[in-house]
Amino acid sequence: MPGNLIKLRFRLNEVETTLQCPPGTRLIDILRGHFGLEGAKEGCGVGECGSCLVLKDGQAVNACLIPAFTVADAEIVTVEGIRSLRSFAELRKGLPEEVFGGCGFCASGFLVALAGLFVGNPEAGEPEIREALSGVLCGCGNYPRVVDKALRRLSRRRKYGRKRD
Amino acid sequence: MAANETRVFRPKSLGGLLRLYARNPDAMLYAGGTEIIPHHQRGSGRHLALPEKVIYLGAVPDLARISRSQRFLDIGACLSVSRILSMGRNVLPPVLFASLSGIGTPSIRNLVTLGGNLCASQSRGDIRSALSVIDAQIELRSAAGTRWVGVAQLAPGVEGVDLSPGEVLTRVRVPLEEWDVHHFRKVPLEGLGSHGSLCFAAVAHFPKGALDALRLCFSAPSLPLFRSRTLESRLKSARLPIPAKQAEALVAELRVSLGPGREADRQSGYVRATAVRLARAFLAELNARSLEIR
Amino acid sequence: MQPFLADILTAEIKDLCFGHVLRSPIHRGRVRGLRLPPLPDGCFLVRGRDIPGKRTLSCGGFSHPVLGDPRVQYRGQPYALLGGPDRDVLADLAAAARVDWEEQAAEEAGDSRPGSAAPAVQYRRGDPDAAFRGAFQMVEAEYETERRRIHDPDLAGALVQVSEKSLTVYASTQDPFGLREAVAAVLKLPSRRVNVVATRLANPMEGKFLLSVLVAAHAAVLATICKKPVWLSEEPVDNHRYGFPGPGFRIRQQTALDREGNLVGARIEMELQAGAYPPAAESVLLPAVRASWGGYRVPNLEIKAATVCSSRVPTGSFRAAGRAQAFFAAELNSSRLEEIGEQDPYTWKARNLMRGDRSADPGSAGSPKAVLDAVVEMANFRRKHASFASLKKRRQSTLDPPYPLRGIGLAVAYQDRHDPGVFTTRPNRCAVKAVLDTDKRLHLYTSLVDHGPGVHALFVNRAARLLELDPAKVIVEDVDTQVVPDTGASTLSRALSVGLPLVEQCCQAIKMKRIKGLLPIEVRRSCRSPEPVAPEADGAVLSVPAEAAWAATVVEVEVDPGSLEIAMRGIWMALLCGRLEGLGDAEAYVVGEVIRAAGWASLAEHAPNASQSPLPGVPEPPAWAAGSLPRLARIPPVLVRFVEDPNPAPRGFEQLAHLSVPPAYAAAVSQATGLYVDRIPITPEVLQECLET
Repeated sequence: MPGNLIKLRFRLNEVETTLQCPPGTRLIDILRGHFGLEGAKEGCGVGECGSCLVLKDGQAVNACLIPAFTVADAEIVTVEGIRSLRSFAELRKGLPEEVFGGCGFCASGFLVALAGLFVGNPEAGEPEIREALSGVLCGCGNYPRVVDKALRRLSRRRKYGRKRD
Repeated sequence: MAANETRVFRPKSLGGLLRLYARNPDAMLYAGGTEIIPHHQRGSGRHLALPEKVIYLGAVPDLARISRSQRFLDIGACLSVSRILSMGRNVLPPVLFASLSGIGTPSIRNLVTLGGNLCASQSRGDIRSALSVIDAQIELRSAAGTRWVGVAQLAPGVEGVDLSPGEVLTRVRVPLEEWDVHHFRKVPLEGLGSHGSLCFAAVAHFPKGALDALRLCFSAPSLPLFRSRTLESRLKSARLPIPAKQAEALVAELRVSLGPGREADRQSGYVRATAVRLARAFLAELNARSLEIR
Repeated sequence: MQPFLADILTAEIKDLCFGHVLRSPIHRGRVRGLRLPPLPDGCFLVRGRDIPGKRTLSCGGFSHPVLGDPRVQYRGQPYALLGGPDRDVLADLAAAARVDWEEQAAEEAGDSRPGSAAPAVQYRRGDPDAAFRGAFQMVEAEYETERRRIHDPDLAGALVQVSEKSLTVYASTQDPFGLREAVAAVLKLPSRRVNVVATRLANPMEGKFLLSVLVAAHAAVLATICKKPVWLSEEPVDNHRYGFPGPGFRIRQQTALDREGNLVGARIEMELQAGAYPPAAESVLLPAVRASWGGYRVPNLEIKAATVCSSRVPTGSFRAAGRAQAFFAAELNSSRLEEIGEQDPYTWKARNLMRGDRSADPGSAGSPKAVLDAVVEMANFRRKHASFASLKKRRQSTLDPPYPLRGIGLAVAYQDRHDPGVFTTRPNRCAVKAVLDTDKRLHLYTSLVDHGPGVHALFVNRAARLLELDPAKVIVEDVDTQVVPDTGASTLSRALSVGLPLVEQCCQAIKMKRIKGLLPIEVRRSCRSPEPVAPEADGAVLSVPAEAAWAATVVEVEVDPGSLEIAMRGIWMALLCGRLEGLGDAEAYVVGEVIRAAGWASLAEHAPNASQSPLPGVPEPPAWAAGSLPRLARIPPVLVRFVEDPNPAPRGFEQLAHLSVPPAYAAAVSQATGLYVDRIPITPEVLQECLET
């Protein structure tokens, strides 16, 4: 391989994927630059704002902090996957995108944070929801609306997604 | 360093890791990356400015084990904080649970590892005070051998902990002791240009209303891990509730021990004053708790 | 809808060039020489002399050199540009650049620099000298507001595409036509040859003026030189370190009271800390002057205001720039007067507030007293205030029991209906166009970008109702200066007071023409742009406008006696701003504004501006932080109510949170701690400093 590229094999939105890239390529750049998946956004580049959240092996992580060499054999789900995959259909029913309002920049961060929470803990309560959302910054200050809608979803007590190991 | 000149090693065993690191002591050890990546960013769409050699620890099973005996909990250094927290409040000492819960955001806790946080720069080592008061021990291994150190011996500098060449922090041994009171406070220092926090951890044991053991520890960017056995022994065998005069005397001695801080450094002045107030509040809480237990 | 700028798929653009900004490492000085390694193929350098047209940008009364070449006035100022096909190569070249600087001493605020400051302004009403001579009591205090940043995930940036005859700029901007004019002037082109397409904007839109223009100008210069498409965007670290912050102010208030505690006179001195390049007086200073006395009845008044420069990043335009800072001082000052006069804040304000040029009529539905009454009831203010005051009296000293350390503060503020929020000298006339096509779809054309509680949704709903159309058949077209008319810079005020009436007029005209039956129908309606208040118009400056929007806010806090951390327990806000039907989710929008204003009042910058040295002994902080945006855990319950308004005309209300939340917060902290903190942000460290002094 030219230079010092690595060959990555991983699952992206439930599809087996292979990619060659330098080891220092960030996951956010792989997703946005290589695959054109612009749902995860770069707001800060240092893992503070939560705009770039994706699910890695079922857990919400900041894609701007993930170098390529840690992605091998991982299961990555982006907000596009959450919006389209059957495995997240129940979650979508409970959390339509209008929930998020505002300008929409942080919408994917909120949605992935909640997906990561409910996938691991379908019975998550108000404290867990608040905690999950605390990692996403909303420039519009739109938090109360998002928390409110997520809590209403909770009150309907549905199970979302598959349990992840 | 051009982006594609970085070589990444993925050892699959602890022995392999130690041998590899011995041959490449200039390599950067990479666990969760939350301390490393922000300082190696080059901008949107650009590759990270990683050093020539990186050893990725995420594939070494021995670094991600948890084992438990009656007296100890051994936690692998590469376990994520969220994974450790999932063990629950009933397993982890409460003071440790509290300190781990306060690290970063939920997504950061899915990446931050125990070893990474311990080795972090002075401004970020959130859990040192909690581990110190419960006398946790840290295992350091190299190809040459193994040693155990206390938290205080991991002396963090501005850039991070200074281990011997070839040494890797492999696990943390947490004593499972019973304490009557666990206390942890984390006070952010955002207003003074710091991402760090003032952390205060304390535990106390008072069988039959007499203080058998009291441990207090502070850490902050402008205050390297502070714990004074002399202070802690001042109240040994004191009957609870501690009389106000005795508590104030301890607080006054703490104030003197902390020192005045660096001149013209607003942060260190605030940290020291707040540490004293937090200690005072803890002693009041200790008294209240002792009355509850009776 | 246009995507966010960062989401434009640059990988699909052929021959794309990138830009890299070279920034000054010194505070002040001159570039004597610049050396770079040999430039690889496709890479090129741009200096000040390569700019074909105007070398200074202006936008909304703020101005800034396109490049600080040869002179720089603050650390981080752009002095040259690099262009090329590979960002990594450009970064390496920038790191290798060697500049021969003639360094000069940095300017502290207040140093004189000939021609640097905007002229001072002065206003007078009555005879303040006599009022002070005859006063029973005088109160004096100095208030300070720090320069502030916002969390802006959607960074300023531009993609510029060139053709033989024109240039298209895709930019995140609140003022597409202003950007077009500025870029055309820099390139020495007629405006019609520059086209601007406004991309989708993030956050509630604040400050996307000068910085957007600067970045776009840089990209446009690069594109003009290399004749290829150019992409240039701020990095988060650059925005954090060098992004233009909101203004800082120092305001001294002297108040004269008679024996009954009534206001008889006031002297106000204001100093705007503008950084390296001062804005025009109409942009920040004059709005601050107008707000400096807070809308109270003060028969004898003198106001002096001046701008000072220093070697710091220049201030930019932000939510209620100048007014927010002035209201902070005015309202906090009034809370001191209330305390000195041992009066309940509600009673004191109700007695002393003005409406238009009359006193507030008790019980009058359209008066500020209506919002006062509403918020006091919502928050149970009077009972809590009395209770916390009683607790405070029982404390021997500041942090002593009885606990909890709680306080509650009240503030009132107004926003002028015709305050465009941003001073601009263009356009003379604002216009909106509407076309009803043969499929009976209505197309609306305006330069007002969508933002806030759904400005475009408001236009759609109103048009649909007037023309009896399905809202799905009403489309607000993307903002493209080739296609839409100039409705002026986008603010909520302008959308409500200019855009909406013009949309309604277009619909009425279409309704009339529709009777004749022929489609398509195209109409265009325009109006004069709202005039900013002229500097000489004392009368206008020194009175509350008749059609103001009002808000009253209550903030309750609790202070931890150990750590001095300040937790907000609740924020209540009542607004009077006309009828807002069809405006999407106005309440959620105001809640968002309240949260951001609360952050400004209570959170400090995480890291010093790079134009200052790091604090001694404190490690260089990471390259980014949220600034004054609170995380979810810090956000208290926020309750907002729109009070019934006999005047239905919708007025802008986007500023009201920033005008009223900070002083209410400061008053609450003061009651909780017994400490008089006359600055924001108020953080635990600030309280510690107050304790020590």
